[in-house]
Amino acid sequence: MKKTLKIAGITLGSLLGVLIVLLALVCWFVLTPARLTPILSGQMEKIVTAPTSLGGVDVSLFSSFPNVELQVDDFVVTNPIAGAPSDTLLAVGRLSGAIDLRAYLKNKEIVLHDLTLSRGRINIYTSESGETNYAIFPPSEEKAEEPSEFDLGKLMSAADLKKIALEDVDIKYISTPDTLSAELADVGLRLSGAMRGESLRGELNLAVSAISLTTSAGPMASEWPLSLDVPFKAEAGVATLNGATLALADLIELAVEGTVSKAGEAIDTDLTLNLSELDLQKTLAALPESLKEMVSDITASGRVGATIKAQGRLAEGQLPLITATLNIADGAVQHPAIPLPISNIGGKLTATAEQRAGEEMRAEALIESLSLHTPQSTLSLSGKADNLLADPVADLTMTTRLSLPEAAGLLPDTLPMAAEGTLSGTIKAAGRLSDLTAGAYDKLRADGDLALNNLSLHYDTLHVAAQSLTTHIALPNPHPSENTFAHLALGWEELSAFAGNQMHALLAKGSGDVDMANPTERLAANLALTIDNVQGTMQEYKASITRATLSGQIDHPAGDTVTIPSATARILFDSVTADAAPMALTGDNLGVTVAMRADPDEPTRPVVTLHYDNSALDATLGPDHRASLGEVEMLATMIIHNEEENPLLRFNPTGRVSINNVTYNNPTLLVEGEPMPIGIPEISLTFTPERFDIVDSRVVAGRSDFRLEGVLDNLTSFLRNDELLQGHLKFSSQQTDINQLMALTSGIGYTEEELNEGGSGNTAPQHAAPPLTEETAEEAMPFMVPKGVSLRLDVDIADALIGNDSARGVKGSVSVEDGTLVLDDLHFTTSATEMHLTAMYQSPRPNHLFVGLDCHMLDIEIGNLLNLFPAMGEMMPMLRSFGGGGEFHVAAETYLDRNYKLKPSTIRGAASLRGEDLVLMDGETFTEISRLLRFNKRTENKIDSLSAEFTIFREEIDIYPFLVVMDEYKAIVGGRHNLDMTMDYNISLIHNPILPIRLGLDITGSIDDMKFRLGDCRYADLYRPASQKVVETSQLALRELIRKALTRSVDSESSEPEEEKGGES
Amino acid sequence: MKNMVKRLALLLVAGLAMGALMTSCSLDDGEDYFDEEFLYGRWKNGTEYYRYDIGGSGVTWDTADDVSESEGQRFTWTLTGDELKHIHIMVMGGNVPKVYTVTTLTASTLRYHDSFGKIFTFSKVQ
Repeated sequence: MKKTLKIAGITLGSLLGVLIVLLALVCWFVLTPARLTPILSGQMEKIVTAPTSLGGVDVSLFSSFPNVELQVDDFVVTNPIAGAPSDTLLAVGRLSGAIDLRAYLKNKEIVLHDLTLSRGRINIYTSESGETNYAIFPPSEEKAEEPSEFDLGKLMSAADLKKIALEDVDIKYISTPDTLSAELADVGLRLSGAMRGESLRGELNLAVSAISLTTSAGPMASEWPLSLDVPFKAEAGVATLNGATLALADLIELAVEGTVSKAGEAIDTDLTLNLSELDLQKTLAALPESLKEMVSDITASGRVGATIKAQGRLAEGQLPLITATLNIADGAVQHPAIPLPISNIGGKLTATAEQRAGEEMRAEALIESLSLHTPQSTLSLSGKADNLLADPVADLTMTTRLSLPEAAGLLPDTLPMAAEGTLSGTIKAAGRLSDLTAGAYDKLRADGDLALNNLSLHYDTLHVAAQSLTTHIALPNPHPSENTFAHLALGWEELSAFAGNQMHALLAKGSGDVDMANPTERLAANLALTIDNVQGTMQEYKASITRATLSGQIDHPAGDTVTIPSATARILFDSVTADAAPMALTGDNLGVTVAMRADPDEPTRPVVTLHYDNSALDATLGPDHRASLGEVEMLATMIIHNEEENPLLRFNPTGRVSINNVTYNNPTLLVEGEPMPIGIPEISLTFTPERFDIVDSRVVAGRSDFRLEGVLDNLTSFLRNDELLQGHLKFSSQQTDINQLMALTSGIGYTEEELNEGGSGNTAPQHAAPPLTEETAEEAMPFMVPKGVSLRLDVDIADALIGNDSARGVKGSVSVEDGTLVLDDLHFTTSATEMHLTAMYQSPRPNHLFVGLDCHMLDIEIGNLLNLFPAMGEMMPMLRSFGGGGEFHVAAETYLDRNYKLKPSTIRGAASLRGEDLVLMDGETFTEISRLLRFNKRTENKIDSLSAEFTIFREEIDIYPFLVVMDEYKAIVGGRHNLDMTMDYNISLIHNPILPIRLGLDITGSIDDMKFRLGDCRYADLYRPASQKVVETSQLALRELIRKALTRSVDSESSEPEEEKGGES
Repeated sequence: MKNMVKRLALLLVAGLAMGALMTSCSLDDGEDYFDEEFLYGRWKNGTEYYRYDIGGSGVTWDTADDVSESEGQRFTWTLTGDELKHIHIMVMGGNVPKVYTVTTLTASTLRYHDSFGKIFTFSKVQ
């Protein structure tokens, strides 16, 4: 056995030795460069259509057995086309490859295991027309017919490629249509792998010493180094990357690892890509110039790293879970468009995306932290956002600390505001993007607090400061309210505001709540605000409020820009103190309510309701004036017509006012040596645009009391010139002390200088009106009685105290009737007489004023009459000679100029005097008359009766002849008296008990120089009917005419038959 | 005797005086007639105006007091023989009668006087 084995071994060894010798001989004599080069050149002509050249071909059999190693030196492929920078497509110093000899000998297949190109260059070019210089292979019909399906395993199996390498090769690529050129210098590429059955292992290594890339935008990369290492493994349908890295220009480093496996038609992935921290500063510095220009204004630094993971199945309608995490650290950016440098940018953001089978693709983002700083402020954000690809749902938290000085610096120069303090707080918000964009804000949630601390704002002369001002925001409103959208809680301490040195307001402490409705649906809110200790000053004026409570609400449909919104506000002041020297005010429980709504008939027309009330209000003016008001209530509703200019037509107020228990005290208001308080127990009135009703108003002043009631009507119609303004008021009083009232009101409206002017050097009353100067006299505007007005004031005073007398039963009316002011039939009774008075004033034009008087005194002492009407004594001096009582009727009228001076040509007047048992006052005139008419010295100067009529026409006063019966003497007196005080009287003595003759006495001259002369007995027959002539009859008829006209009004009131007095008829 | 002479002298003087006085108290009853149609229209005396209207009404005004015709004050008038009577109507309800004796009334001139001898002369204004 051993021998057999020995022989077999020797035989095999011999055969092997022969085979080796044969192979050596083949290599020595057949596979020589000289023989192979022509062969390969010939083959190349069949493989490529472009010209090629080979420097030399060498084959090595033993060094790579069982493969054959083929080396081609100086291999060049040229394919010149127009425009290409070079005719050469490929030029390498050596091209080497290893061919599987067994595969060739067995299956006639050329299986390439190793391909290396060394020391060369590759030029790839595409012309403008799309012609390429690498289209050097003849068209293959077989390939064209077969579908080009990529099959990595089949390819690797067919090629059994173990190594493809480029060594020290420069590659240039130019694509004219794409305006793209790239240069890769010193490219080292190594692709090696090994296929073992179904297993493939390999590695790709790429190193480029410099990459330059130019596009139409300019240079994009300039000599950037690149290295790529991709070890890979594919076995059992699973491709694995383990430690694949990419480094570009010392800027970007990528690392990928994981597996990709095929599962039927799907691919299962489990890949992780790590982007090493990117240095932004370096990256920006490395950018090509064309890009640098785009970001030339940006200064940025920081580190950005990212990790991307893909885990899961990739298939039709299915995506693996992709998770991308971005880390930012030490970021900083500056740009002119960003007003502040931003630093400390840091954070971590994670985004995920996935599509599960049968489901829509989902994407989410998580902001674990994101923060940044400005020089004085910070901002941080965290939260998450789900469902990014459909309807994103976000839940974010923002925390900030904002420096107000820094924020103020961002304002434009046109708004020079200075600020101090900080705004800090945290706000959480959550909601769907669709709700946000659709305005469904009521589906959003938010909760946060913002606080302003040590606030100080200064703008021009305005300054606002607060120790703290806080706001809490909550969406939706957590409190029960009809406005469920949001709730704001406000609060502050030591809030103050200044306007220069003139105004200052301090709101020491306040808090409030606001409930809001969704602003996209309704502009609705409820407000409740409480402010403690409000103090304000304006110049020398001061005010303080212990507590103010403001409540209000507004409700208005969103988007309605036409209808006036409905709003209500009420302010309640617990206690108010105001000091506006010399005036001061204190009040308790002052309330003001303002409500606004749209007019139902015209939605653009606002209707405003104003309500004011207080429980007590005290006011002082200087040390002397002090007023106190009890309960005050005012309610007014105004329908505002902005197109009207007149305030009453514009506001159309309707409402009521009531004031109770008003008292006024003035210690200097001395009447009869005692201070006189004034009280107003009640004022109550209602008003509408058309009507003003004084329901009740009572005033008590000293010994006087008044009550005013009545109506003013047609107010609006009057202002529109449609109707007369009508009014009917009633003034009633149980007692009116006119002396007190005159003392009370004397001097009102005049300055001290004006009042003192009257008292310097003359005896004029101190409180008389100032005289008109010449200038003011020319331009004086007298009282013009309103036209278009019909007003009537009925007066009813039970007892009016005048001087030492009193007027009882004062009744009458004062009316203004379309340009005429009438004191109509005023009746009263004094101790001197019972008087009926009617007076009229008209003002047709300023320089033509009418004044008229109709006065009846039914039982008056002549002395009192002259005291009452001093002018009467001047016009008819003879009245001074009579004493006793009688009745007196006078009507007089004249026109005045604008300075109230008489127009003499317009004076008209008539008077009637009747008396009995008069006394002729003794005096110089009477003595002279008695002497000349031969009166007996014992004649009693008692006049039984007297009946006289007087008329005034222009400057002439005519005394119609009247009979005087004195003792046994009868005389008729008549004549004329002129306003210049000249006279022409005649006394006709028609009965003398001593002398049976009729004497006449003419009295002429002036009042200061009377001349007495016996003359005609002019009126001898006047009172003797049988002897009356036409003239005498006419005289008596005229007297009757005058008297009847004068007494018409009095007689019509009297039920008694007219009683003739004087016996002249 | 002396007293008798004195009393007779007194009676004589008194009788003479009485006769003279009784004479002075009488008036002339004769009157002239004037055509009132001459009166119609406006008459002017300085700044003083009168307008006599048909029917016995009229107005008077004085431009010196800044009164125009339309603002004139009303009166009624009658012309009976030579007696021209004005009754000035007061707004307040009274009347002021004025009686004059016409001495001249032509188409251009109106002259009258009152009982106190005051003479008024007017010229017609067209």
